[in-house]
Order: sequence, then structure tokens, then C-alpha cells
Amino acid sequence: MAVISERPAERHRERSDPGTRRPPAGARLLRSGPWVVLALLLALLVVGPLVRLEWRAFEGGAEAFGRMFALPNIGSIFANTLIVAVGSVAFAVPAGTALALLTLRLPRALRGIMGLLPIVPLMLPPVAKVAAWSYLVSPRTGLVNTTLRSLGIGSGGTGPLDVFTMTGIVLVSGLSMTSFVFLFVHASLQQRGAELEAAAAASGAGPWRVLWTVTLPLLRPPIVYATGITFLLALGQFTAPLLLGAPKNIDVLSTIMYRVSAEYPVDYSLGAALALPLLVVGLLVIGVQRRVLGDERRYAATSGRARIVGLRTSWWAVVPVGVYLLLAVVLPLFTLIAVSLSPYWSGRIEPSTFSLDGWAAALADPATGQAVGTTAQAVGITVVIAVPLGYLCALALLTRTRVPAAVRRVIDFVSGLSLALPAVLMGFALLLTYSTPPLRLYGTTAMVVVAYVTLMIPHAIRPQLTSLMATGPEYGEASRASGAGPLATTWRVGLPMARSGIGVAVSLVVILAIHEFAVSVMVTSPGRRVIGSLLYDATNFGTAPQVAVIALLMVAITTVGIVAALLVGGSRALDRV
Amino acid sequence: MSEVKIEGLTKTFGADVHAVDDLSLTIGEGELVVLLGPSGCGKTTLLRCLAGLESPDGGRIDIGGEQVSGGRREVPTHRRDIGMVFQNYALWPHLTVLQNVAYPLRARGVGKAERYEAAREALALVECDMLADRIPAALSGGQQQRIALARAVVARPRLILFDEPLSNLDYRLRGQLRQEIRDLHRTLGFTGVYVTHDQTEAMQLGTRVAVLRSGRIEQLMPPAELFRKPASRYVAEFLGVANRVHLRRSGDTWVFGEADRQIELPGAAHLGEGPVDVMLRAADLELTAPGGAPAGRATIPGVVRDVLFAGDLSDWLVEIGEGTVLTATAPARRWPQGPGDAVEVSFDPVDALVYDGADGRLREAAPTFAG
Repeated sequence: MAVISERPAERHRERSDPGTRRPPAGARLLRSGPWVVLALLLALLVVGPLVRLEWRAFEGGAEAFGRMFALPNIGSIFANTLIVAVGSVAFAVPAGTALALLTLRLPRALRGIMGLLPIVPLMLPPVAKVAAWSYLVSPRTGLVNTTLRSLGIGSGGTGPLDVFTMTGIVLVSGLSMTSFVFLFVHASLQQRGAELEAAAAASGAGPWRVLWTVTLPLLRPPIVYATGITFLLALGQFTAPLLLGAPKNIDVLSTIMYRVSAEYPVDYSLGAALALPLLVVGLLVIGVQRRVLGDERRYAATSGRARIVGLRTSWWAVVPVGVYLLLAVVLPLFTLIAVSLSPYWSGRIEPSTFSLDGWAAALADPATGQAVGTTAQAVGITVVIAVPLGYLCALALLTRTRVPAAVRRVIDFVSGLSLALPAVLMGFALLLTYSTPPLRLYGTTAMVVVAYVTLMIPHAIRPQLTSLMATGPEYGEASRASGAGPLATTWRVGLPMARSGIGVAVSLVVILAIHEFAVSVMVTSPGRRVIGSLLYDATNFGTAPQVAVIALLMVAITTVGIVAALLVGGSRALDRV
Repeated sequence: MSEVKIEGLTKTFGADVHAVDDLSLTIGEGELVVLLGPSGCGKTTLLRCLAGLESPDGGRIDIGGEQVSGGRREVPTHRRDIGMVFQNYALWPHLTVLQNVAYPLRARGVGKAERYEAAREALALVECDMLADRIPAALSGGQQQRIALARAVVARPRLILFDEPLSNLDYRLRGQLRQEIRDLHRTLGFTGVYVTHDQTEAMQLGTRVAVLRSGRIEQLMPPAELFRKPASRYVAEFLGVANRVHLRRSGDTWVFGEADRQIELPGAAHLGEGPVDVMLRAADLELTAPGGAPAGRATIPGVVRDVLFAGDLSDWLVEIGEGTVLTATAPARRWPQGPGDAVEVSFDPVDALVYDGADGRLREAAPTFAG
């Protein structure tokens, strides 16, 4: 009782002259204790495996680097990695930016729907898209090639196009990354409306001058950001080189790392040496991004209450958006469906031979059911762990919460870091950490969950942080002023208002975890597949219709996941994915 | 020559929203016409049609003798030689203040030295020359809007459009900037169109004021005449004529309310038949002790409900029965009556604005009355 009665007096004294008396260090640590634990947990999850991996690279006098440079073709592997990265950026950044700018010019009636369509490709699993393109443009049986040949373009039994080339890899990778660039640029344009462009036009500037002097300079932050992210994603691009590079032995760092991880015993030191360049570049890009963006006030959007001032619209804007959708969604999906219904794939769509045999066989295979079950279970548990963790991290990152600066910096760094690193690298580090003593999780669902949670935390943080920042502190303050404590405020005001952000986080985690391919093929054992690794098995040992069926199953599971996420976050969540 | 001529302009959104409805208006050179009305009356749409940010569905717009809109012709915004001031300032955050102001000249191909010189002069006009090298985000709202004004006038366009430029500013700044826009207009003599929902802005800035209703001009007049004789109940209400009494004919007298309270209206013959709405400006009302009103004034007995003190002026709220409350405004301490006191509200019948009870149009005073 004595303790309790003393406390208010002590607190009162602290408040009354904060300059001279600070609470003792112990009390401060106690108050920020949970936040310190959160930061440590994140560091352990993300940084721990990376440190452990790179430790291996430098063990024994860094001899692993010697073995790395002794690898045959190591020069061309580095060159290929760079070409894929630069090529994808060169394709995706202009294309994505142009699409986003065009949606501003869409007729009002279409803007709502058409403006969102360019992100639909993100709902298609990348591996499904790559598989579809291999059926579309493979030199002998590709649908596009057989069609072109029947039109008299090209001759003989192959060509004229070939997706199993560096150009093919770059285009397929760039096409799928266009959606990312679109997403960032579009969000930025939506947020600030077109009033600044209207002001430039009213000042006498023609459309091109407006583009060069106002629109593009103001889009620098999202474009720089998207360029960085796209570059890193393409640097670690795994799916396209793995599936499309195989016939001509086109390897990049990520595919070589995968091959190292697939041999037994795994040469972790060599993998660590291969991973180091990716790690260094990832850190550099993040550093450069922060520096280039500089004074953010120069890009600050006008007030949120800005009246949206539209520009002149044109029906012509529909054409490029439609073409992109055709290439990125309609054609791949159509191809996958056609292939899945064919008894075998010959490069011709023959509806007379269509049957559901392929579907029946795939669904009857116990491996399919097991993989779907494992995927659903792993993704479900991942959502339950990663989204609340992300909420806490987002709270800690809000400057208005009184979290120690050091803790905030750790969380900020860790979330930035795991966004910056290629999935293959993380996969390799996780494989090392969780399949060697003291933790042996290889072959269990737990291993998949740990890997997914580690990868998904940054994606769970960002949307929740955005929605917390957008709502502002007043609502919480009003609740506190009305007499609600911190917990009641969080429960009755904070969470409901962050609901759309939570919905977005859940959708993102669901989509990205189901689509996850690189880490999935690395950390799952042949006895316990997830849908992604099952698909990879099918590309190696199965038939084209089998691959198509599994790819479509992946699409179906994603759709189910998105619908479930919508139920959590309300229907508006989809707009904000 | 920068006369603006709008003829039969029509703009609809969707099937049945007539934002601008067959509207015609001619703005003389050097005139600043204020478009006044509540939100949704079409004033902003009209302005955006003038700017070319919206394509009208019909009608024609000429600026300075050049047809900019109508038929198949639609001159794009940047070729209309206009200046525009936006509600949210719309300064480009990545350019300095000087670059912002010089931008219209840059767009017109003026050389660097010359345009910065002109931009500095324009900044001096709004007393912001010392801010030239700052970035807009570092400035207050009032400063940003001054910069935006400088940007709108710097190229001496033939028409300047103002889209509620003062709505985002606080009360005191609004007053200052109103004065500055007035001064700029006097100094530079530009032709302008100014959109607002604030009647004070309209009265102080407009050479003429157009009150808009459902996409049409309800009344167009110089501010003083407009306030003296609002053409309809809608205009009177929008101009802040606060007191309204609905009168019915009962035999030889006029009555109001359910209990048919009589009202003394000397010389009320001109009111004609049928119910009317009498609108009274708060400043035209006088309070006296019961029976103390001078002869020749219309009187209504009532009880003071409250007195609202607002510095120089006070509002006396007088209940005249049936829940009808009249507001009389006068210098504070002008009348000794306080809450609960019985009073007589009186007004000169000449000051009463009489509107037809059905269509809300002004009933013109009889000739004898006007004299």
C-alpha cells in the first residue's frame, strides 16, 4: 500500500520540474522495456541469420572467396546479374511511370476502375507469369511463335522469338516489375491531385513543359524509390532466370546460390561469399536513396483537403493501359487456362481436345493437397504473427510515441534492410540458421513460417504506418481526454481507425507469402512442399498441363486470401494494396 | 482589349447535374466580376470552363475578342493567356519563390535575366521581395497566397481567375489579402473573375457581383445596388439579410404566424394580394419602448430574448411571437433594453424588401413609395 500511495506524488514531482530530475535509468529501461524486446526480436530474426551467414564467408581466412572466383563462368554470372537488374529497371521505370501518368488522363467514368487495373498483375504469382510466358514465346511451341509462323513471319520449326534468352528474361522481369513502379508513382499522384499541373497550364505552360518542369520533378521521390526497389528486386530476380535461363545455362547470382543450396552437404561458405555482393549493393542502394531524396519538404504534397483538380481527359489513355493489362494479365492467364485444359502442349490451342483430366489428376495427387494445406497453414500463421508485430513496429516508428530513439533506429534499419535484400539471400541465410544446430527446423512447417515472418515484417509495417500517420494524433488525444486509458484508446480508437491499414497489411502479407518462390524452394524439403516449390518440381519433372494447373491453383489461393483480407480490412483495403 | 464574353454556356455532369445552365455574361475590360454563391451553384465550374480546365457541353466563350471555346473549338488552358490563383495556393514545392513567380514568363519564352527581373517586381508588388530565394513549404499560408498572386499577375495576362483564394486563410489574413487584391486590381487594372462564397469578399472586391443559383445568374449588379435591392429571397438570404417574416392578407390587414398576429404596415397598399415574405436588414431595425416608435414606421411588438455583444456592435434578438425571432444590429449600448424587456421593433417601410411568397421574386415598390 505504501508503494502505491507514494507513486502519484513521485510522478507529480517529475512532471513539475522535468529539467532537473529525470526518472532513474532503471525506471526508464522498464518503461521502454517492451520496445527494447521488440527491437531485439527483430534484430534476431533478420540480422541474426545474415551475420551468421556472412561469418561463414570470412571463416578460415576468407578462403570461400577464392573458391567463388574459381567457379567457371563467375564473370558472366556477375555480368548477367547486372544486365537483368539494369535491363528490368530500364523497362519498368519508364513504363510504370507512363502508365501512372496516363491514368490521370483517363475519362472520369473509367478512372476509378481503370486506375487500379495496373496493379492487378501483382495478384498473379510471378512464377505463374513466367511459366505462362514460356508457353507463349518458347521458340518451338510458343503460342506467339506458332501464330507468327502461320502468318508467314519466320520460318522452319522454331522462332522467330525466343523467351529463353537474356532479352526474354529482362522483358519478362521488367514487365512484372512495371506494376511496382506504377504502384508508387500512382499513389504519389493520387495523393497530391493535379492542381499543380493545372496551375502550370494556367501559367501558359504546354503539356510537355508541364511534364518536364512540374510533374516529373515532383515525382522524383517515388521514382527514385521505385528505381531503387526495382533494381534490388531485379538484382535478386530468381524466378525468371531460373525458369527461362535453364535451357541456355544463363545463370545469375541468385540461381547459382540456389544451386549451391540444393547440393548436399550445403557449402554455406561459398553461398555466403556469393551473397556478399548482393548484401553490399542492397545497403548501398538504401543509403543512396535516403541521400538523394534529401529535403522532403520540396516534394511535400499540398494539404490533404486539397480539392482534386482534374486535367483534360482523353479516351486515348485507355489504349496503353489496356495493352499493359493484355500483356501482364489477360494473355498469361488465358495461356495458363488453355494449357491446363490441353492433354499435352504443342503450341496450338485446340478446344476440341480440351479436357479436365489434367485438373483431375493434379487434384487427385496427394502431394497437391498436402502442399495447399501447408501453404494455407503457413500463410495463416504468418499473418497472425507478422501483422501484429508490424503494428507494434509501426507504433514505434511514429515519432509521436515516446519510444527511445535507439529502438526506433533499429526497427527502421531492420525493416529497410529486409526490403533491400534479395529473397534468395535471405533464404540462404535462413536455411543456414534453421537447419543447422542449435535449431533444426528443416522439413517442418515451422521453418516455412519463420522464413515467411522474417520476409513479411517490412510489408506488414509500411501500410499500417501509413494509416497511423494519416489519422494523426488528435483522435487518440481526444480519447485520452475523454478519460480512456492507453489500452482502451488503442482498442476502441487506434485499432478501428487503423483497420484499413491492417487490411492492407494482411492482404500484402497473404499475396506476397503465397507468391513467395525463392525462399520456398530453398527451405522446403521434398517431403513438405508449399505450392510454390510444388510448382517448381512440376516444371522440372512434370508436364506443361501439370505446371499450368498448379500455377492456376496458386492464383486461386491468392484470390481466396485476398477475399479473406478484404473481410478483415473492409472493401476499401483493396484500393490501397 | 480583354473583354470576356460568355454566351449560353452549359456544362453538365452525369445525366442530370446542370453545373452551368445556359449562362451568359459579359465582363468589360478592367472589370473584376465576383461569382458568388453557395457550394454547388456552379461558380467554380464556370471558372474552370473559363480556364479551359473543363470542357463545356455547349455555348461559347470569347476572351479578348478571340473565341477560346465553343463549337468544335477548345483552346487549351496554356494558350488562353490567363493567370490563376488557387484555393490551395498550388505553388510548386520544388521551385523557389522566385522560380515560381517567373514560371509564367518562362512558359512564354522570356529570357532568364528579364523574367527574374519581372518576377522580382511582381514580388515587390505583394511585398514579398525578401522571400525570393525561399522554398514555398517554408512560408505561411498568407505568404504563399501572396506569392501565388504575384505569379498570376507577372505575365500581365488578359484575364486573371481567382478560385476562392482566401478560404484557407484565417480571418485577419483574409482581411489583409482582400485589401491587397483590391489594390492590385486598382494598380494593374486587370480583367478578373473571382469565385467566392463569402459575401464580404464579393462586396469589397467586385466591380459587379453575380449571384449564382443552380448554374444560372440570379442577379448581376454592382455591390451597393445589389445589397440595396436583392432581386430574390435567395439573393437576400445569401447576402446575409437575416430577418424574414412571412405575411398573409387577412381582410384589410397583414398577419403572420398561426395565431394570425396583426402587423402595422403604413402604406402597405403596394404589397398587393397573396402571401409575401418581408426581409429586413438587421441594421434597418430600431428598438423602442412599447408605443415609443415614431409615426410612419412599421411596428411589431416583441420581447428581447438575448443581447449578443460583439465588440463595436451588438445583436438584439427579439421574439415577436410564434417562435419568430428578429435580429436588430446597432452599436453596443445604443438601446438600454435587455433580456426579458418588452419592446417595439420598428422599421421604415421603404427599407423592407418584399418578396412574393410563391416565387420569391422582389415585388417592386409602387411609384408613390419609391418617391
